Amino acid sequence: MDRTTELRLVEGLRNGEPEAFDAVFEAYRARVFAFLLRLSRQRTLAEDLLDEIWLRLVANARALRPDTRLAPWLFTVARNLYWSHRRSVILEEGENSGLLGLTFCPANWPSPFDLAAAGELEARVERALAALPPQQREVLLLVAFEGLSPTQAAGVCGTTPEATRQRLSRARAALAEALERPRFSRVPRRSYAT
Amino acid sequence: MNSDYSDDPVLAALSVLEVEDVSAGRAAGLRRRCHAVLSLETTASEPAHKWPGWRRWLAPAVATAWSAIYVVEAIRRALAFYRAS
Repeated sequence: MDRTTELRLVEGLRNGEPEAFDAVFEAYRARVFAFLLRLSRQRTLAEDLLDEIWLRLVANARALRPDTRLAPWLFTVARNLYWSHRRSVILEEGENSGLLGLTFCPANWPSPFDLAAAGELEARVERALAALPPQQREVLLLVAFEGLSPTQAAGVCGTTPEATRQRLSRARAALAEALERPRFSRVPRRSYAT
Repeated sequence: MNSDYSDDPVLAALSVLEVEDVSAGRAAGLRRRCHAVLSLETTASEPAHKWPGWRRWLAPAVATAWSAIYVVEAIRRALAFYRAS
């Protein structure tokens, strides 16, 4: 989406135009959902958080700044909601299970059907990405997959651009290492928990 | 995919990932809910925008005029009292 179109849509949202909302919804819904799904690895949670993001957008549409960049705005809300949920889960589950929750635990295993249906490279990348800690996964998804600049990703993650570049570098190394692992590791490709 | 990293084979590998989406039914339901919120927000903010310009100035103008009359009358009575004494 070019900047002129984006600014026009932001103006439309500020004026409460349903057409502007529809255009933004179509352009970003799947991208934000895919980001949430890969971050949380839980389809139901990703769907619930997606609802919350869009309802927040329309509730705050009039308060948007005219120069708002939609992708960073949406990914910031998505990321904050995810980490907020994660913190509440850790608090609810208590200290021990909370510590366990800091590391990724695949909810279920890839079915033979999943592995057969998926492209080999895609399956490997998906498994390698899922094996990374969420902090590394989010920066990889934002910069390398969603196309945000390190500065924009830093804004989304609430860090400095330099810290984001360092995290990206570590995430890249971890991804490279994970891609080198044996073909059938324990992390599922697209078998998300519900 | 970020074009700045397209020459990096590790990061470029991410471009093979699919973009997942919610079901069409769920997306339609969410869109309807958002439209409802959007229309509520629009309705809530409409009355102020629909007022003609003169309505916004009416109350301050009346208050100012009333205050001016009060002050002039107070000064007039004070002068009359001063001259009489």
